[in-house]
Amino acid sequence: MKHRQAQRQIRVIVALLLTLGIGTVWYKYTVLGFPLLASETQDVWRLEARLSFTALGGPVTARLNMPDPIDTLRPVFSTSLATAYDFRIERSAEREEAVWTRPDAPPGPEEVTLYTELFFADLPGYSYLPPSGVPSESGTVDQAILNTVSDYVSQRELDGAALVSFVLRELNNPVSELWLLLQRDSANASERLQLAIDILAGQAIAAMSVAGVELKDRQRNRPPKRILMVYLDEVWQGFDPGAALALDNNRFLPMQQGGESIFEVSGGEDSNLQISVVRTQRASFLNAVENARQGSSWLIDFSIYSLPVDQQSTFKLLLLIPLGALVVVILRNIVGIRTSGTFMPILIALTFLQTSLFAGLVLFLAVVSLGLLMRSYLSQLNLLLVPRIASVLVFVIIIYAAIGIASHKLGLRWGMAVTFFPMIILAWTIERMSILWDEEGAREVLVQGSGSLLTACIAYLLMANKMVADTVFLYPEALLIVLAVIIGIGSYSGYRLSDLRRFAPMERY
Amino acid sequence: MFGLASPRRLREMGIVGMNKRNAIYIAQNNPRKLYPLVDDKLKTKLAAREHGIAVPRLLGVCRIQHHVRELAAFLGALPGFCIKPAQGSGGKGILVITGRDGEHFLKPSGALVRQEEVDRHVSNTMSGLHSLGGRSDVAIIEELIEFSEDFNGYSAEGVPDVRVIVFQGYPVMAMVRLSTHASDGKANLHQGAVGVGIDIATGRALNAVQHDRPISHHPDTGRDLSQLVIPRWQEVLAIAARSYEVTGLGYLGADVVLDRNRGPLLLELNARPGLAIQIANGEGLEPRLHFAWLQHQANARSVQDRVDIAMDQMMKQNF
Repeated sequence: MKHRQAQRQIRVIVALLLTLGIGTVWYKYTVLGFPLLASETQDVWRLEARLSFTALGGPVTARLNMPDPIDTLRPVFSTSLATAYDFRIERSAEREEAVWTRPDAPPGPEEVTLYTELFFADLPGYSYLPPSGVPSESGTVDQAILNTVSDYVSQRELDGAALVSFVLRELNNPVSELWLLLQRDSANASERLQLAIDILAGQAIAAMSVAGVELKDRQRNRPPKRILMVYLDEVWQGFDPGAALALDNNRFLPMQQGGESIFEVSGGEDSNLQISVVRTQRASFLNAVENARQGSSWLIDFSIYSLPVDQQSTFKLLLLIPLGALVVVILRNIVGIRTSGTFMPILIALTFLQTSLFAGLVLFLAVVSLGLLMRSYLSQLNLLLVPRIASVLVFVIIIYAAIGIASHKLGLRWGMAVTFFPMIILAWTIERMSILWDEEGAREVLVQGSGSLLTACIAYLLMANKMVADTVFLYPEALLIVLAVIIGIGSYSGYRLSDLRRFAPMERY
Repeated sequence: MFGLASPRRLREMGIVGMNKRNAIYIAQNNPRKLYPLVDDKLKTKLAAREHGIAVPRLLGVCRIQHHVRELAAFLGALPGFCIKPAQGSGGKGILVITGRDGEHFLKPSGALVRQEEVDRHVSNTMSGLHSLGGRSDVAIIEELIEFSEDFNGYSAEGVPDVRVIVFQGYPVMAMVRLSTHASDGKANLHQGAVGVGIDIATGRALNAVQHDRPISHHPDTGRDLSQLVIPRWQEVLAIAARSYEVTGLGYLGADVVLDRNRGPLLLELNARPGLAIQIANGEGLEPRLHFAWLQHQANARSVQDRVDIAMDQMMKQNF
């Protein structure tokens, strides 16, 4: 039989679609770091870097180093909060800088602010990538002294992070033996940092001083923090020199290293940088999309996310329609519910999305029952088909207007939502139900009418679920899975639930 | 449980469900291009006549509005007649006139119908008022069927008809559809007509159902339905079997009526026959369809041979 061949083809198509759909979802989930559910959230850091200075009068140029590239760091966006200044971001091979310029700044205090949102992708193998190589020793300490210090440190037989912590702790302790060996009394913070770099170099460990922002929630107006970055086990690890402990790299945002300046103001003096940090939550998938776009994955480049935002939201609605179709297919071919018009319930469900369920149901019942009343009168006139439906359509519009005006007068705001109903579809529904009434009786109208509404309600509940909507938007490839299920059901020749009920009396035989 | 049959039990009985009927029996045996022939009663009638099948006599056809003016003169000579749309469905738009009362026509109920009303009915029929999708149509004027007295007391108002499911030319299952008061004289099961399963071998009644539930007596007349026997059964089956040659449809339902004078007549054919016939017979279609398929694969047979094989084999104890 040809049937066998068709069945085999269907199985192949379904398997292909499932593989493709599940495969792409899996790829996005594991490789691109998409969250499985759209409801997952992620920390996002909001930074406000405020650069204040006293303008001398005349042209002003202010430069601020942007966060250094880290392979897990994902800036969401950066914008300037400074009126009267031209703002641009300058990119070069080594650095990114925010630049404000103003040709005619009045003398006196001025302020420019960089507002940035960013997050850290939770990728394994994080590493801080300094643009330059390993810095050389500074030579501030005499080589002979350094050798004795080296011996002293080596005696401890420490390595890695423990060694770094030990050195920092010793430097922080004003009465430690180390100061004797260094033949100094003490030093300020930046000198101590330089000493640490020199001592670590003696242990063949590369280190450098880096300035940046510590990411803690609700930090107000702090100056940039300086830390020690140490190259351990082939990754750069930050150390808090004060606490002498390793830092969580995903909680420190490096902005300046080595000889770079963190900010620079020409045409002003007394410049000062203060940074505020706030932690917020954001749907993980937004981050993931951003993330993948920056990684320029072709899957993202040629997806819905490449569209402008307003057009994306149109597709967000369109992507839901296959789910509605799936509900209709399941209810009709597996359950065996009769509906009036195959896809009319989906259109009604889409309308419910705009009117809310309760208002939608009330309005639908009102329009359809008034329409049926009017249509039953038209039956007696024996009008021809097209003029008949056209009259129903006109009447539907009149009902819309009547409901709109009545609800406005009664102060029921949801009544106005009646206009969201597709009137041509409603006119056809009324026409079909009326014919059904004539041919099969009122019972069949009730059966099909309530079947349609039930289908519409289930489709609505599915499509109105924000998590479902976001997840489909996140994984449009899941539609291939939906298609596979629909095709699979299309070749299902088993019993419907309604068959089981209908043939229940057969069990007697 | 919960008023549901167990799917396993139904499968054992060989019950064909909606999905299987649509996806396998209809989709694979009835090419779409053959549908227009069965969806248009006039075409069916003419094709059946060409194949030597007896049909209710065609008195006339109104094809254009112009014909309506000649209607009064034409109908004046007839004692009784029936007007129906060629593409109507579910008995819609059928006007039955059984006699005359002076100027006026009489319906079976005794109601008077004026000439203008008949004219308008025909005119509306041609403009598609009673047809599927409102397509313009033709009105068929047919001889009245006088149903055989064998059905006395078995039908409330309308004409009972015999529905035979024919698969690849083999009659596989049959039932009589008896109109009831609830079905408004129509022979459609889902409108409340009674379905009585008929033994293919003998033409005798098996079980009866109304609204998909078993019954034993006619709800209006109270007659014992198990006593029903279809006269000239072999001829009924032959008409049904021959519709396969007429239409080419592998899976079809043939509706046959029994006229007192002319015997079995083919009323209409259906490319999507319903499944309630299984309840009326207390048996699933699948084993019989399978048997017919094997016969069809084995040999090309004449109508008479197919009817003989069916009468010999299509009985409950064989499956």
